[in-house]
Amino acid sequence: MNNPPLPVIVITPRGMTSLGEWRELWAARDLWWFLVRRDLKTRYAQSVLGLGWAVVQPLFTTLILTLIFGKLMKAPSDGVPYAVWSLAAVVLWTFFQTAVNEAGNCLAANMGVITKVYFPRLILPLAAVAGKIFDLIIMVGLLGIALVVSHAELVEANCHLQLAAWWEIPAALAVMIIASLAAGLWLAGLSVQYRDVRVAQGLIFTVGMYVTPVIYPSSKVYLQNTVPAPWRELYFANPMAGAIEALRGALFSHNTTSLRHVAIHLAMGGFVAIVGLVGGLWCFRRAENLVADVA
Amino acid sequence: MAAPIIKVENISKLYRLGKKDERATTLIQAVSRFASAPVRNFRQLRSLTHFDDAANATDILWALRDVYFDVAPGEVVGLIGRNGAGKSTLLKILSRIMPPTRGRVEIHGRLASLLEVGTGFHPELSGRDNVFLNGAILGMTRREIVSKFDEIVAFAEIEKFIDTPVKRYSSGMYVRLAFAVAAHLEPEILVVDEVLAVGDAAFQQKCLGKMHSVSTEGGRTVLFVSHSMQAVTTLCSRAILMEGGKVLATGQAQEMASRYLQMMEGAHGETVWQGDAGDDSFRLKFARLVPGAQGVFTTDEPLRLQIVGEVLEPLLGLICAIEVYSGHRQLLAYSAHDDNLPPPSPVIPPGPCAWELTIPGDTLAAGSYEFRVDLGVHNSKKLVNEKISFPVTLENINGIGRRYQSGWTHCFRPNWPWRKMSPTEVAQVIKHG
Repeated sequence: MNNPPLPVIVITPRGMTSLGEWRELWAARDLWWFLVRRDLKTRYAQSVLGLGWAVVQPLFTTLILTLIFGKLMKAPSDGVPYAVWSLAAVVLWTFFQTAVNEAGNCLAANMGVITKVYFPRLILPLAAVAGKIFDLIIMVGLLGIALVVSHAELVEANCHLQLAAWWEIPAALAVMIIASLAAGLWLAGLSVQYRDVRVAQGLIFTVGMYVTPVIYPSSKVYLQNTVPAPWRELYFANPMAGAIEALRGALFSHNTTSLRHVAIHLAMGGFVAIVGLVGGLWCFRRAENLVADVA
Repeated sequence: MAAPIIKVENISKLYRLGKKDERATTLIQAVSRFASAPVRNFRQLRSLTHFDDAANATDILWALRDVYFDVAPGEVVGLIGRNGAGKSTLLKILSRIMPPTRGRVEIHGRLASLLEVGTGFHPELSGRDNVFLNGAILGMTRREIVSKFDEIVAFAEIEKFIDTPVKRYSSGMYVRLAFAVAAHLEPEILVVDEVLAVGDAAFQQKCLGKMHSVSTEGGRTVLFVSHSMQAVTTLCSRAILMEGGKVLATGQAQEMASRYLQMMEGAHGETVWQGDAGDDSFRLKFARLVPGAQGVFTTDEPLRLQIVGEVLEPLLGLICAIEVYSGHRQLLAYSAHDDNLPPPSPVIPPGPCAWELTIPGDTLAAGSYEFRVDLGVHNSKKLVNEKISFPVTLENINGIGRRYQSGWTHCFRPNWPWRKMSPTEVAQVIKHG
C-alpha cells in the first residue's frame, strides 16, 4: 500500500485549503453523476405522467400568460405571435426558477447524508442544476415543436430563425445556467444559518419574474423611452433579461434590438452571473463548514 | 512507533447553549422587544458560530477540550467513554463532517467513516443503483464499485432482488446490502461508530467478523467507537478513554475497558440495599451484590450476594432465595439457601442470621441481569414485600467465550469441558453409531 503517496488531509477550524478542495471535487465526479441520476430517476417515480410533468408546467404557464396578457390585455410582443413568443421566455424562466430552488434547497434536502459522511458539498448544487438541465432539454424540445406547429403563423408575422445569430442560443443558455448556479449557491449558503432566506425565496421569484422580460418584451424597457437612461442599462444586469432577449432575437429575428446590443446585454448579464458565482462559491464554502453544526 | 497516520493536536469544539428568553413585563418593553427582535435574532444566530468570548461566556459547552492523540498505521484503536464524553463529536471532526473550533488534525491517507450504514440510500432506487450511489458517497470511484459489485451483492445475499427498489426490501435485506457496501471499502483509515449496534445478532457477528479481518488482514487503521467492552477488547489493541470532552487516559484496551467499567459503576444502579423490611417474625437489614476484585462486574469473576437479617421468633420453613432475571425480565434461575440440605427444613432460632450466595465465574454470559431477593415462609407467606433487586450489567473482558461476539442472545456461557476426540475414539463412535 506504499506505492502511491498517501494524500494528506489537514483539518483546521477553517476547513481545507482551496487547492485540495478543487482536487477533491474532481475526484468526486462519479458521485456527481450518481446524484444526477438519482434526481432524474426519483423525481417522477411512481407518477402517471412521469417525464410529462417537465412539459406540463411551462405549457400551462404559457397558456395562462397567452390568455391573460396576449388575448385579454393585448400586451405587446414585438409583433410575434404571443403564445410561442412567451413560451420561449417561460422555458428559460422555468428552468431558472426550478434550478435555483433545487440548488438552494440541496443542503437541507441532503441533511441526512451531510451529517453522516464527508464529500465535497459543492457536488450537491452542481448535481441539482445538472439534473434540471435534463428538464431543460425536454422543454427545449417542446419549444421546437411549438415553433413547427406555429410555423404558418410565424411566417405570416414575418418572423423567422435568425441563422446569423445562432450563437446567441448557446450563449444565452450558458449565461442562464451560470446565473442559476450562482443564485442557488447564495440561497443554499445563506439559508444554512438564516432561515429567512427560504421564506423570502418565493418573494424573490415573484419580483424576479417581473423584472425579467417574460410577459413583456425587453424592447419595452430598452428601445422606448419608458425607462430613464441609467436604469435602462441596469435592467440588463439581470442575467435572465439578456438571456431571454437573446433567445427571442435568434428565434424570431424581429429586429427590435440590434445584434450588437444583444451581445452587450448578454455580456453584462454574463459578467454579473460570473461575479455572482464567485461570491456564491465563497458564501457556500463558508456555509458548508457550518452546516452540520447549525442547520 | 512509526510516523502517526492520524495526528490530533489540541482539538476543541464549542457549542452555544440555548438561553431562556427574557419576558417583557410592560407593554412598552414588549413593543420595544418586538421591534428589536430581528437585531437580537441576528446576533443570536451569529453567535452560534463565533466564539471570541469563549473565555468568560457562561452559555458555552465544551464538547471537546484540548483533545490530542496519535494513531500509528495499522493500529486498531477503540474510543470509549460515557454518553456525552465527546466520542461522536470527535469522530465527526475526524470525518470532516464538522470543523473543530480550535486545533488541528493531520490525516495521512484516505479516510472513510461509517457513522451509520446505508447513508444516502434512496427508497425509490433499485438495489443496484443504491450500491453505486452509496459507494460513491462513501468515497469509492465507479471503477472500484464495478469491480466489487458481484462480491457486494453476494455478501448481502440479495442477488434476486438487486433490481427491485429498496423500499420493497425487508429491513434485514436493506441492512445487509448497506453493510455489504461499507464492508468493501478499502480506505487506509476506517472510522466506525457503533454501526454494530444495528441488526440482529447474526448480522452483528458478521460485522464484527468483517471488522476483525479488515484490521488483521487488511493492515488498515481503524478507529472504533463502542459501548461494548467485549467488542473493544476483542478488536482493539489500544483504547482511548474519554470523559467530559477530554482524553482521560490512553493505553492497553483491556486496561482502559476496566477503567471505563469502574467509571460506569455508579451508573449501573445500587448494588447495596440497607434498611428495615419484613414482619414481626423476620427483619431484613442489609443485602448487597459484591463485584469482583477490580470493583467491576465481569463474567469471569464470581458474583457474591450477601443477605443479612434478624429472626425475631422461631421460624420453620424460612426461604431465603435469589431469583435471576434476564434483561428481558425472564426468570432464568432460582436458588435457595437450603437447596443443599436434606428435608425437613430446620427451625431457625431468633437472632441475627446471614447468608452468602456465590455464583461462580464463567456462568452467566455478558449482558444485563437482575438479581432479586426472595424471602418467605414455605407454603405460608412472603416475609418481605418490598422489591429488593440489583440490576447489573456483566462485561466479558477476560472471560471465556470472548472470542465469539455473542450479540447478547444467550444468558449462560458456562465453562463446560470440551475435548478433542482421538482417532481411535472416533472410529469407535462411528462403529457403534
